[in-house]
Amino acid sequence: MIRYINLLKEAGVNEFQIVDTFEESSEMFFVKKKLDMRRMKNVEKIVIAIYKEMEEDGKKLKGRADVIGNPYMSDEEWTDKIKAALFSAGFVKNPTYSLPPVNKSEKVVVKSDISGMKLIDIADKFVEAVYSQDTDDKAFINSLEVFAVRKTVRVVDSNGSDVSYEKTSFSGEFVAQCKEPEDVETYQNFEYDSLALDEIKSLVQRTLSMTRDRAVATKMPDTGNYDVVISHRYVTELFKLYFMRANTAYVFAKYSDYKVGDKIQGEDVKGDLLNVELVAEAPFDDDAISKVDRSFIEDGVLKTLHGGVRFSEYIGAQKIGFYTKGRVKAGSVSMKEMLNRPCIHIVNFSDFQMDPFDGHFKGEIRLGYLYDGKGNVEIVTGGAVNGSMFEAQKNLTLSSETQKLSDYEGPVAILLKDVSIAGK
Amino acid sequence: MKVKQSDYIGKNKVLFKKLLEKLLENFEYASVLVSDSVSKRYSVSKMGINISEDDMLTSRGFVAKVYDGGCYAEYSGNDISEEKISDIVAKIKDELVLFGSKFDKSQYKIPEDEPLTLSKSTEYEIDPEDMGDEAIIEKMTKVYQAGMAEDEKVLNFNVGMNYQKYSKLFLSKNRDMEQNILWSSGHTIAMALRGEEVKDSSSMFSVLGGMEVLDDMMDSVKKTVKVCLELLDSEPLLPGVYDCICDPETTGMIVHEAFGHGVEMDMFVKDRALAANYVGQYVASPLITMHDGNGENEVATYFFDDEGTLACDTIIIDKGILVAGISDLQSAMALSTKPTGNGRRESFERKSYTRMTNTYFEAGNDKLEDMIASIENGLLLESPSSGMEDPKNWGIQCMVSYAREIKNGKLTGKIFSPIVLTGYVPDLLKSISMVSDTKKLSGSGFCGKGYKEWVKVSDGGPYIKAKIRLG
Repeated sequence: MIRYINLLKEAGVNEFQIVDTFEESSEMFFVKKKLDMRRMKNVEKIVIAIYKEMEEDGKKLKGRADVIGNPYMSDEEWTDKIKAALFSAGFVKNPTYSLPPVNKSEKVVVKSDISGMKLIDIADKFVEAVYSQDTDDKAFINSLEVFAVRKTVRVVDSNGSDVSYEKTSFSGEFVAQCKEPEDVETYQNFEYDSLALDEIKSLVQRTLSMTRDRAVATKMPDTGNYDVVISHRYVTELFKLYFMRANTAYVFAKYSDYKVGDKIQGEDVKGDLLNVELVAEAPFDDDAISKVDRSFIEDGVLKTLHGGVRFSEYIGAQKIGFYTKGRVKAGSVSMKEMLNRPCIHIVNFSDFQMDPFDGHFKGEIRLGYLYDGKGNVEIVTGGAVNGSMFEAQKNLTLSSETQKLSDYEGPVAILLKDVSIAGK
Repeated sequence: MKVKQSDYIGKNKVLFKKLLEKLLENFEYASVLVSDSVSKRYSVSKMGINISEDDMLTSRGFVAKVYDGGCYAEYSGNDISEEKISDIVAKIKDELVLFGSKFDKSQYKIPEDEPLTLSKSTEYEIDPEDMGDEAIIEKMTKVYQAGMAEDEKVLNFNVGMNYQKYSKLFLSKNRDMEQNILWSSGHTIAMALRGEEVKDSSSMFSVLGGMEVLDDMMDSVKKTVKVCLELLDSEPLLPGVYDCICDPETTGMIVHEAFGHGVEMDMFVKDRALAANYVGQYVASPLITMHDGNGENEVATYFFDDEGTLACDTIIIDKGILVAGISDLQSAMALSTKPTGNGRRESFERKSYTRMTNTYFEAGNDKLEDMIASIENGLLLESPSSGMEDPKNWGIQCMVSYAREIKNGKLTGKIFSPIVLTGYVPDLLKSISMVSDTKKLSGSGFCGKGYKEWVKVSDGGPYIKAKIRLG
């Protein structure tokens, strides 16, 4: 770091921020049960944000330009990049703002049962766990990719902040296939920061079961409005609406009118009120701000905004950092009760997306279960959901069962009333 | 003007050749791909001005690939020096090839590695570095100001640009290949509020070249804002099957998402693509011929892929009949087919997969006005927003921003939004009954494999008329 600090000072840069990331990985790629490719990676990357203070027509301005490189570049090359970025920052005439207060810390190792393990051993254990469930000739693992990654991040800025952390994680994706009676597949991805062998086994079992059901599904739901149950990883997508709309950048741009204290589900809420915590998925963000778990939404009322330092300062919000993970309080209705009514439970989409701008959630149905409320259930496939969360949030029901994912902890399912489905 | 070779590759080529030599002392086959890429991203909007090197596209490093006991292994790194070469070789010999030893491995042959030496560059009119950030931002600011001044209802008018200038060196025992490429792309997005909803419309620009792409932006301002304001009065669409005309961008999304992913032949190897069963059969209307590759100069044009295979123009559908897929080297070996130069990596840090490049339908013979006039009750679909592949079952999931109503052969001015396209891919492609006589490709976006592995692509085609299930 001293090297970059000296080069920056020699180039006349007074304000800067340096993020040094070293990432190593061990990766395996399987086709059916055979290892098709293995890879290792050792890569270090340096990102330097260069700031320039200016004044124009009596207004204080601050420009920023980022440059990217690695420690193996020569001083001459770094100096050229830094000088060019300092020059460019002069054209970035944004209202001024200040870097975050000084934050210093010894390196934090995010502790878990994989933090001390060799990456190759983590990958081996997860692969074995996945294939331990692959025992059925009809529904089986078609392909699997796994990535065991250890990342060390250090953030230093010109104010004197100096923080760093190390985090180990495991991620990947697999495809389950069932060839009869119809040849179908189900895609799943996953990410864990612990040795979540039971969780991955359960995910494999559920996915294989889903794939068997999809193989016999031929009926498309009728076009119409339904009570729709969304579950597992798709629930996370719905909550992106709140994370994005509470981002200070969105508020500054007026894409969102969220204010602390707002009843974000509206006034006339008939269903569950949301209770959500922001969860620190890393000890620090890229602005060197310490992240902690904190209240986000209580009984449907917004408790805080979050985001980067610039837009937080522009709108006068507390600089708490940028969050992507939430912990949602469970509801009181079990999934069994939830499905004991006429509804469609969609367990697999081609893709399911929440648009935080217009509040619409959309996706093509790969597998769903159509409940008639009298104990009968039909497997359906095809058609598409298209609903508005602005409407649905007024009458939603959260399940009492919960799940833990890398970016979400909370109810495993959510019931949304009166959602449009384009079917046959 | 031709794009110049990177200084880094020029200065260090001898080191990478030494690394290759050492690997070949230990392995039957080895290759080294070196990549040096700089990408800059610019934006001007109400949120301010931004200039930064692009985190995903700015990178420098190498990937060493070795053949060991019938299977391949790769090491990605960015630390190379005379002293480091022995450490890298030791890491590959002593750790990498032993990794995963408890699992059965796929068995492949060694690539043919026919001798090949080349050094090629794409051309450009205006080098972004020569133009300079001041002039780029100044031009973009004028576009932004014009967009904001167009109507007081405009909440924000976002003007974005990025370019990537990259050089690649591929070395194997018999190959020494270099290429230098520059592409640029940009967008304008108008946004306006309707209650809690933010409605937006966009225009996209791309070129295999440099900042000459900026010239088209100002011309798009009025149209981008007009569509955004029209969307404020849009209505939800009654789901159903409609006679539709797709604009070239929507055609491109159908080409790419609905069909293109299904002919990536690594999916054939995994038994994940229904297309594998339909080679030689009609999958589309006889009016349709589909290409992928360097037949068109767009943002995904290159001379060789990330495995040292020469790029080509692959005809995928010929007058409605599926004739070929596209492949990377390993998939082609598994299927005993000729590789098509479609082995692409997100960066040197990632594995290579079969990936599309410039993918499009050929133009036909119809005039757009005749196509609209032929529809009694239908829709003109414009401005695709996203799509997702389903190669196994050919399900369609594509989304477009809006649809314009057509009644009795005329556009009524009524607009519906948002729109989800669903259904079965061959049903849609076989229903194509008219194809316009002009085509357009657009390369403003990136393509993922599933939810990762982003690579620059372009897609497009003519206006097409088809029956489509909409929601």
